[in-house]
Amino acid sequence: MGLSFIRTYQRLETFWFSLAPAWIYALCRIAFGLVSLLNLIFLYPHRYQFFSPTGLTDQDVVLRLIQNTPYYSIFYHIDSPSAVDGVFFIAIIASIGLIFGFLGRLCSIILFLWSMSYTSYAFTGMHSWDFLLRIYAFVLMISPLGSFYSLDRYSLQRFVPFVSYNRMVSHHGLLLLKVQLVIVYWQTLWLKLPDQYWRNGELISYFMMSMYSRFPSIEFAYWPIFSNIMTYGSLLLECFLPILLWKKRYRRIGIFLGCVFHLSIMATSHIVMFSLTTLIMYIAFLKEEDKDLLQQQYQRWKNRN
Amino acid sequence: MKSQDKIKKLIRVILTILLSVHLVIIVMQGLIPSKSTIMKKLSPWIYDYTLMTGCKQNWPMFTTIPLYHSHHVELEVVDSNKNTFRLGPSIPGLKKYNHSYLRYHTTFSRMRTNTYKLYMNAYMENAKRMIEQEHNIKVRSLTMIFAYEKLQKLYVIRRKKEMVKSHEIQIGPYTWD
Repeated sequence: MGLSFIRTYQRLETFWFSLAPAWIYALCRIAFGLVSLLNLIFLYPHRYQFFSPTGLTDQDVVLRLIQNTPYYSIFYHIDSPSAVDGVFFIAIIASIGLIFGFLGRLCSIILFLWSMSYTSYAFTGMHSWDFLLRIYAFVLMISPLGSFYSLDRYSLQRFVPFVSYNRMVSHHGLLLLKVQLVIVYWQTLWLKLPDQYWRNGELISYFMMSMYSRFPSIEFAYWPIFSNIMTYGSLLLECFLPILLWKKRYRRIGIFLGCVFHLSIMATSHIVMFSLTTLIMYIAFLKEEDKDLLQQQYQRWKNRN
Repeated sequence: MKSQDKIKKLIRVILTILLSVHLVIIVMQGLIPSKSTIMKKLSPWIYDYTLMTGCKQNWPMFTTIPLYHSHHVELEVVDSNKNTFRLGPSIPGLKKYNHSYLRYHTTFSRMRTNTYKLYMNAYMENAKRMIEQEHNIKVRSLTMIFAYEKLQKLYVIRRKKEMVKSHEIQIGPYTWD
């Protein structure tokens, strides 16, 4: 009994703390910083509408609704537009800090607090990517940030040359991101499957004529085969992408198909932020051999030219 | 074992347990339907944790067809002299409705549902105050007007060759003495 418990625990410990290349975390950190910054840039012109106490969201109502819940937001305590400016300024600086790996840990904590704050306050205007960014912020906060490609490493090595950095770090954060991808795809699939328009394959026709489409046109009503292929294709991808990505043999096919899927959504719809945010999770599926392969390809290309 | 190693080992054990509990919670909250009996029993335990860590999640993305081809929102104001005019709904500033930024559509669409009635009531009070300050008038009533181009069913589009049907919804009037 005791021995089997210890073995189970050891398996669990290996499951969480196996090693992964630190550059993968660094890529996640940079990608998250970039997408957070982009989200902030889009939000910035509308900051008073969504976050000032005299904006679309009434502060008193929010405070009444969140009573006895563990929601927290800096915007609950803000009483002027200039304070909103201050919060945005700090969040923008933290995003830039994360991109360049400057005080990475502090920046990740600030971005987590920022994500909690803005999603808990202007709840009526939030989209799926906001919640996904909030989850990433939490994961990044508890992960090794990856000293690769960071000013922290550069500056410390300059002043303390004997400091060494681990090339391999615990993969628990990447594991959480991988599981997150499964949850997003499979939960949305579960919710879509009972719907008649997903089932009869008409959904994409409606989507492409709607306000979300980049090229809304009546022509899509006359392309039922196209709609069927795209609708069922989306469902198939949402069902099988997590399996492909987790299977070592099909991982690269999964990454390729997922990127094509989300880049197509970006190209044909106005929901750019969601695709960009989702693609961050794909970075967690990269392996050391992918870097080697890219380096080889680059070398070959360089030699040829 | 040195005491330093013992502390390291202990930290590792604690982290393993915490990460495992976290994983079980997010998988359960993410993949087991919230209306199931299991989740109804467990949600009081899980709910607060997922709120505090920001990991509460729900992904109902396009679970059915989008309804609209275009959308527009305005505020119809009646002042104490019974003059009627329309203003943009974005406060502060009473700016025109911004079609290109999806968050406005989401905000106003949610606010007109019963779930967010409190938000709408407070919004109307704030908008009234702002209109009175900026236009130096006394507001008697406010109505929010949603003008949509609603997508028709595919068989109707194919038969009539008309993609949309204009549609207007009024919220209010909210009146003051």
